Amino acid sequence: MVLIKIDSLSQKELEYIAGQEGIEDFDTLSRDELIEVLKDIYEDEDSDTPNVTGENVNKRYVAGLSDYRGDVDENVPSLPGVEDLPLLYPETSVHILSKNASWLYCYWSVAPSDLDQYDQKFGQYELLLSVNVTGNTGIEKYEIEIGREDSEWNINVPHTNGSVKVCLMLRKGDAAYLLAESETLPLVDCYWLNNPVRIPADEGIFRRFLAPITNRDGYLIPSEIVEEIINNVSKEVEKI
Amino acid sequence: MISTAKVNLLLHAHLPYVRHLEYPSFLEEDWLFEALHETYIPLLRILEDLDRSGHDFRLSICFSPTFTTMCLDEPLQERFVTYLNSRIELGEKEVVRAKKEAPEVLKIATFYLEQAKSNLAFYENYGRNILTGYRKLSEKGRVELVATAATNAYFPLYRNYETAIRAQIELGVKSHIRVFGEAPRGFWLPECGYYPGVENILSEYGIKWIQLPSQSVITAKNRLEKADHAPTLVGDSQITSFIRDWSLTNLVWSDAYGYPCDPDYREFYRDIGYDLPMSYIQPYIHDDIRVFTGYKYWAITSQTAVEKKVYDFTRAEAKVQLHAENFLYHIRRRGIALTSETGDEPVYTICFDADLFGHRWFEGLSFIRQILLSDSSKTGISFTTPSECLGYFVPTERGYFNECSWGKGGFSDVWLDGSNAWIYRHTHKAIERMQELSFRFPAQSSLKARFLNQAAREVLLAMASDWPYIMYDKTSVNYAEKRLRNHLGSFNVVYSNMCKNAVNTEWLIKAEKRNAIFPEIDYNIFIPKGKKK
Repeated sequence: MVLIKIDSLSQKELEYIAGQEGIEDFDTLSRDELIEVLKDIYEDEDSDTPNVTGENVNKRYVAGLSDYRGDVDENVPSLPGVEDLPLLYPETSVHILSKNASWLYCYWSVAPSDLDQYDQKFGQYELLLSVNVTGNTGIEKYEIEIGREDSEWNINVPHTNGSVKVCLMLRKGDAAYLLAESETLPLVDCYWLNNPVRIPADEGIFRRFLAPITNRDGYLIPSEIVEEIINNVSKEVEKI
Repeated sequence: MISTAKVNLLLHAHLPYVRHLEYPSFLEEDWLFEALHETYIPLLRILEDLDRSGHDFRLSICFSPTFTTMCLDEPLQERFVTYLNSRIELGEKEVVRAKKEAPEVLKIATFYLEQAKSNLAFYENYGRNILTGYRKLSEKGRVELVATAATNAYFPLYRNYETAIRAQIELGVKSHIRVFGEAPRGFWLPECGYYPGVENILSEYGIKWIQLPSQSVITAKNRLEKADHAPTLVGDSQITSFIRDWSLTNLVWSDAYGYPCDPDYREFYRDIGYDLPMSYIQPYIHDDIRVFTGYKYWAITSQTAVEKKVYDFTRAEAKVQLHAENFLYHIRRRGIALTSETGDEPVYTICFDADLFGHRWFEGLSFIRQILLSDSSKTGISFTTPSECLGYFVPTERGYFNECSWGKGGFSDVWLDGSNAWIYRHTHKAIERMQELSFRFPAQSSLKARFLNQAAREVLLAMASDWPYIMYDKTSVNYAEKRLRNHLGSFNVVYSNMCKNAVNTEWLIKAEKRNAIFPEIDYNIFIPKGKKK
């Protein structure tokens, strides 16, 4: 991919990158044609346009105008005996990671030997993820049906003072069997989300807390949870 | 002028461990050479000049263990000298060419040539170890040196693997002590990645303070009152947090609106590595792959300009002066407003990747010099260090923070998105297996210990946040993926051999040569707590 705005590149730079990308007759194309061809190639990747704060274009580890590095496989050989990583490991397990305040990333595997056993024992059955959210108001459970070939899922979770755990389950008719359970992760719980401005003094503190996360042009730090907090607080302030 | 704010300027000096001695030169090693040449040597010269002139400045720098290991590695030092000599040779050719063909760029070409020559002399004068210069500044109290994780692992995604977090912290602290001869008080959380509980592990290693991302205050679990401008205790620990001020950082950091985007500043992306004929430039790029040479003659002009103006030192320097004054103005304005509301003098913490200055933002080091030179009696702003703050400020407020980072969105989205989520299945499994090996084969000596230590190195190198970051950022994706797979694959070689109670000596010697890092490593750190035999 091109690491800088294509429109700002010179003819020479565009020709060189087009050559790397294997475009024939690149040296006969006009500047506009080169830009068009390269934009087609990088259409998906370059959809990440700069946001209002511009932080997503300040790239680290840049050695040139594009990410072209020749054949890295040849250039970074493995030590003898190093084998490719397996797609999955032969074990039955499930793990969760916090992606952000609203989403978990869940990955799992079912050992082939276990699958054989289940096939023999149950014949037809369903695999599912059981999401267990423990919060102030008790335990909330919901299920996600998964396929045999699936191995990862993003799971939506609430913002609450509590925790979450995911169980890998097998269901046959009305009966459900636990195959594996994940670690427990705390959920994101924000004071200002749960207690938006109760007393006048709160408003002053809240306004002050906005200063470090607002830039000189008035844009907020990119964060969904911050936006949600501000919306909640704004509504309460209007009521006051 | 009355004092209006105290400011911690905190720089993070880090690069992933890149060392490929199996090749005469290797493209990604240039990350180190460019950073040394354009940031760390010139920065040290500026700080030494300020020190010699008796200016009482303060700055905090975190040098990561992977970075310091590469700085102290003799073969890489030799390669850096070769790199500088190559820049000198190119500069000499460029000066001749400019005199004949492009007199408008003669001044800046000469500048680059002289910079390469003087950096080489400076580097050799230091016995090729510029870290000793930073250490001396630390001993004088000008600079606070800060420790960090062994390989810049992003902690929140390893929170369920305490042994790996401990290994990252312990090796980070030990490496800091070995290189700088002092126990660190501060610990830079890689990517400002925090999860509740990590402060308790850090406390065990004598750490007194950490930095946290800006939004951690407004998203905290409890009602805070002063954490936006005052050091705050973390959880139930005695560790103090200094909150990064995004608003002030963004004045510089924003690539769309920050100072470095000024049209008069040097354009980073226009380089003779792409402009000049292959026959001329080929000896100074990588084989036939065009890359940056560092010889950049043009001003930004505008973000979309194809025809760039020739860089003008005088205009750029005038802008640096303006931007430094503007930066101080914004700090002062915030400080005055806050003091009038609360009666407190605020402490602001501003964090950056160090190589933004000089390398990506050519004029950035001059900007740092200007703000450190500013007269606090006139500006009302005192630059300080977190540890110095703790000498006169006793934090009383406790913050119970959620998991957070300085990445886009404020959580882990950057290091856990569609491009890189696949890696955690493998790194987590490697950690589990490393724990298993440590438990099954504790306190080994000789070859087995070396074999297991190498396995631990490979696990730690695979945990580097740089690999998922590069995949997210789409810069050197193939390289990052290959490195990650190599480290995990190498770990698996040890695992499968040790499962047969065997050591592959030939492999071990090669692996130790390839990844010569963390001489103090002891794989027993991976034995889970409470499971020691």
